[in-house]
Amino acid sequence: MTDGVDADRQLDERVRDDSALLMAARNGDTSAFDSLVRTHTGKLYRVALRIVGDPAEAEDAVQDAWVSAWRSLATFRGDSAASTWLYRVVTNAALSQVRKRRPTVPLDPTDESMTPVGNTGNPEGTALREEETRRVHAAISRLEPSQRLPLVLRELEGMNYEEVAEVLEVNVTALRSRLHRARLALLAELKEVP
Amino acid sequence: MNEESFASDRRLPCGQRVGALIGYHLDGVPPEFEEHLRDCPHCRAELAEISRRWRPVRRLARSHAVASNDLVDRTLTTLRGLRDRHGGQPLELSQEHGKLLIQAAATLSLTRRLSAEVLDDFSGMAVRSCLMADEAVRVDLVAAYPTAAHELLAEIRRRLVAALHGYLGAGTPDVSVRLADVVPPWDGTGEETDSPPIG
Repeated sequence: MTDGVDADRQLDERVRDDSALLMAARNGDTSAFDSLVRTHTGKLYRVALRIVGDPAEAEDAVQDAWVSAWRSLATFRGDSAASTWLYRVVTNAALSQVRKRRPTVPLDPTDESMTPVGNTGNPEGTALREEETRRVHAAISRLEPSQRLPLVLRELEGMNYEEVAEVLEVNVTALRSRLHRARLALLAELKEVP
Repeated sequence: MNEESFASDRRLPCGQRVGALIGYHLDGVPPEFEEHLRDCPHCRAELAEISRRWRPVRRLARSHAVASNDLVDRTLTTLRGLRDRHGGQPLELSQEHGKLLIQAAATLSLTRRLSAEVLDDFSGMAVRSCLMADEAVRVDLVAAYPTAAHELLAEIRRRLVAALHGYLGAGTPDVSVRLADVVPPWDGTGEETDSPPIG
């Protein structure tokens, strides 16, 4: 129980720290913004990758997101958590990437940037997991963006309904409806994944 | 079981709707339904199938997604370029007949698009990133082994500069093209592929 309380306190402190860094960056402190880039790029990449389904496009989306975030600092008023604001920026950048898609690099089933958990060193098992990862990414990429975003944030990022609704700037009722349709569509797509 | 069976309003013989079961599986079971779901063979069978199909999603949620080692550095370089050189203001490029104002982000976007078009003629190579660095636009490429990428860089740069010149004229910024990574061939046969994977 103490561990849980400590974890909550650390999370609260982290949220406050991130918001303070964003406010500092808004006031011209470039090093504060660079600190956020170092801390959050990995997380933003993961979100972008799961939305666009392609490592190269995900990296482009992350870079676009940070540039956009820098240019939009004035819009951060501290009303929402810094992470919420950054999630919103990266989901917009990823969506923009999807819309202007020009296929230069395909989704790569051997890409080490998408390493399944539980790699036991068994080449056959690893190959199967990689194939599974590729197929799930592909199935998610076939969802409408209005379904894909809530699904990624809720089912893959583990955010709760209120957090996802805030990132996507929709009400929880609308979010539940979109997410329900996304789940149905994905379950249908996954009928052949072993 | 097929995709039609996941129609949200389909009812099981016990009266439960499939849509509700999906919600129970992913969001938790309300206490008032726990006993029924534990004892009902129809619900248990349906939940087992939902669980089976959803298992890969859960595994993906737990998987690692690791960006390139230099993504943070590239991002910081781009940001510093925007701040230090242009301060968010448009680039002012000299033209034959005056000045051309163009946003740095637009330059990068144009360079990325033209790079991809140039690489259509170079099998086994792809654009990894475009960024502002060292007073130039830097284009990082990735090549699938065994593409002789280094021998092609000068020609790729020549064509890219020519393509940019078509849009920006004499104001075309300095361009550097480098090979950032070499990755295994797409199909694992050692043959060149049109679209290499990114490592």
